Amino acid sequence: MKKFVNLVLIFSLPLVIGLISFEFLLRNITNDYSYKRDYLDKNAKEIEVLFLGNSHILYGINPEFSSFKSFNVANGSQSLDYDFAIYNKYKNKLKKLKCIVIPIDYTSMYATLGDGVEKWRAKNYTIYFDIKNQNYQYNFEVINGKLLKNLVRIKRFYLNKKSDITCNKLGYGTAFNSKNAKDLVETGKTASKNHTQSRKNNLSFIKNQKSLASIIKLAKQKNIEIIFVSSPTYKTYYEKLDADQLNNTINHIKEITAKNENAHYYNFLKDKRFIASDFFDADHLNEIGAKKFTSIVDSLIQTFEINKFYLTKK
Amino acid sequence: MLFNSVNFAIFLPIVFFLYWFATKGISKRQNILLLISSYFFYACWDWRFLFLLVFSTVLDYYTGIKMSDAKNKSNKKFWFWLSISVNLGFLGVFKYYNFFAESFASAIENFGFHVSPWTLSVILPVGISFYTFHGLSYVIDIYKDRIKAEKNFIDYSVFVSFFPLLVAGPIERATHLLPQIQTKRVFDYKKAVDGLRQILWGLFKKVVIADQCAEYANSIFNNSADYNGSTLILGAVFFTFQIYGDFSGYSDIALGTARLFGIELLRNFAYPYFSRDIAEFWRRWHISLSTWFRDYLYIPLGGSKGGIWSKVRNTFIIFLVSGFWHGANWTFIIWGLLNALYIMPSIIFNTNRNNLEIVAKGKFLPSFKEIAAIGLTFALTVLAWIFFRAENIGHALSYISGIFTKSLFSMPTIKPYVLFGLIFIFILIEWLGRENQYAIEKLGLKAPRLIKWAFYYALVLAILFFAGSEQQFIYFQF
Repeated sequence: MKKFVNLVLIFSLPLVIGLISFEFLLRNITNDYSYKRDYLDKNAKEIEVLFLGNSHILYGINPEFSSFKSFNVANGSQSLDYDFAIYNKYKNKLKKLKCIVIPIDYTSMYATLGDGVEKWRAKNYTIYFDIKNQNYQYNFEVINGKLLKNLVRIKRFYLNKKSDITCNKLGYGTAFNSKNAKDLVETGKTASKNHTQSRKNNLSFIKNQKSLASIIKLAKQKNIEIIFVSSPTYKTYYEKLDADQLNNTINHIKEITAKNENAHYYNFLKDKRFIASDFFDADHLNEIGAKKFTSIVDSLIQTFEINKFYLTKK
Repeated sequence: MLFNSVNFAIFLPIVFFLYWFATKGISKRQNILLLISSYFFYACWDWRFLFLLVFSTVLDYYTGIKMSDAKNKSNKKFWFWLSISVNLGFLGVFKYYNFFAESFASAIENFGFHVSPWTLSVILPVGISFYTFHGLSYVIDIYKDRIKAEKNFIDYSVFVSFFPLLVAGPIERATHLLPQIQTKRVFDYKKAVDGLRQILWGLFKKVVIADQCAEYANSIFNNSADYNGSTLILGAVFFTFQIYGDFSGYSDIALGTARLFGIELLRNFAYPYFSRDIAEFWRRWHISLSTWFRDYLYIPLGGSKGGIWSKVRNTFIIFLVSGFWHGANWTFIIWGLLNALYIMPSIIFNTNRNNLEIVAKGKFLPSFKEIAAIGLTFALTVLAWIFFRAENIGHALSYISGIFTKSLFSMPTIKPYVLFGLIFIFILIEWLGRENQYAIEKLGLKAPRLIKWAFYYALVLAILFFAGSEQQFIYFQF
């Protein structure tokens, strides 16, 4: 037995040392999550508008075009439970916060980050935002990514001195721009298919309902307005969506916003103001569309602010 | 808990050390530990279904004793049929109820009636087909007086629930596994190292071959209408390697893990894609299930006795049941039927036992005739797997009709050269090791340690390189 244990230890030792070193190197690479955490740690007290949510907001809202001091803390596939967790973490630091913008898209009620194919991203919240996860596996970089991709990241950061940050200083994602736009017909077909749940997942729906309720409740306590938006998409995407999934989502958010004064819902899913040249792909805006969408959302927030001002005066 | 997960990588060494150190080699303690570990392993997936597993175990344990103690045949028969009907009843409710209800509704609709069947919205308990078949073989063997009922509940429970085989086999027999559970196990260095080697090979098959093939196979099958004929063939070939790497990889990990605890499980795969005819393929693919059907269905039906027609009838029955065992979908039934048709010529012309030995035994290369036979068998298997993988019959038929178009002679739109290279290396290693239990069992064993370890490190690095997302094993759903 002793011989066997020794053999296993000797064989495993280089592997264990390699994995630990790898983990260390990966964690020190600055990325969107660590950048956004650092920004919030330093500037949360100044922020007036916080944009949360998934890639539709990450690439759809550029706070540089907002008239408020705002920050985009959306990330790819970020679901409502993580929106709540981030807001909850910074709730006491966000002293000037007036408004939160959260997307309610086609997938918002039927998917959570932890359940889908993007669940590997959960490690970013555990490692960089210190948001606890019941699954200890999300405490490690090395087991949540492909080795080749991680090797490329290490080479780029340590040898080429390039970070993994793909957003501007206010958190807007810059990777989806008009210069490298994708085919709208093709992406509409694949994205609508990928986003449609073949079997409606009631557990995810219930989980998302709870997250929504928690966000609204917390915002209410802090006297903060919440604007829920269905982000603009191109017709090749929205024409192929499952009516049940879409209607259930929209009906639920309408219902919940009708019951809560601080919550409002706006549907831009089929907004005709957004044309083909505004899109990177069928369900993501490019920098032109993002400027347009940010201005529209910004004017909505201004309206609320004006109304609030007069109501307070009265 | 998946074999290719970090959880299992932590779970296994803990159980291993407790098993050999904390129990002080006392088999009674070892069995209790194995049972607790097995139930923990199962509960990690869904603890609620643990009750079903325990119930099934208690039922077969109790009816087994009752059958052994029965004073007359009718009493024995009663307990036998009670166990069979409850076991099959559970399987029927959890696995087949919705299929029958929906099939009945659509059949009725053909006559102009509309019914909305009441369907169950329950998930299939993982491994139910496997542990039910364990239990069935046990009660049938007692009924047929082949074995005596096991009186020790812990020993019997370990036989049903031993974690390496609990969720996807191999389907064990009481005559093979129970005596090993009852006897004292002594740590064997060679066996343990061999176990680790088999686990390593199983992980390579799963993570490097099956999961990489799955990426392309899924993409091609899910969007089959968008691809040309040659790409569709490629998709079917990728699935052929995916299912082999996935299931035989699982079996290798299961056998290797069991060996770490001093237990030998039944071999489940023996290089099926090197088969020269379909009869040989079925002697080499999912062996524990094929032999189960042979012993508990084909032979009781009369087997090959009673002339050619009864042989043909019995063969069709076992292939249809085998297809249905895999899942409640017409695609599996057609897959079974297709395999029955494939095997018919060798049944009718009595050539089904022509190829009992591994191809080109003792030689480096096969003959041209053997290559042609292997190629034809492989092509037939690929065609059958299309039904197995497709969402429904319509999908399978449109997939096949998509293959046989002019576009069959155009270049595939997907050309994953890295995967081609991996599959080539995989086939090469399997070919070199085809006379052993598993491909790397004796590969390079006589080489200096440095070379041997370099090879193992290469396998580990390949696994780490291609790992990244834990993929469910295909056979977990059956």
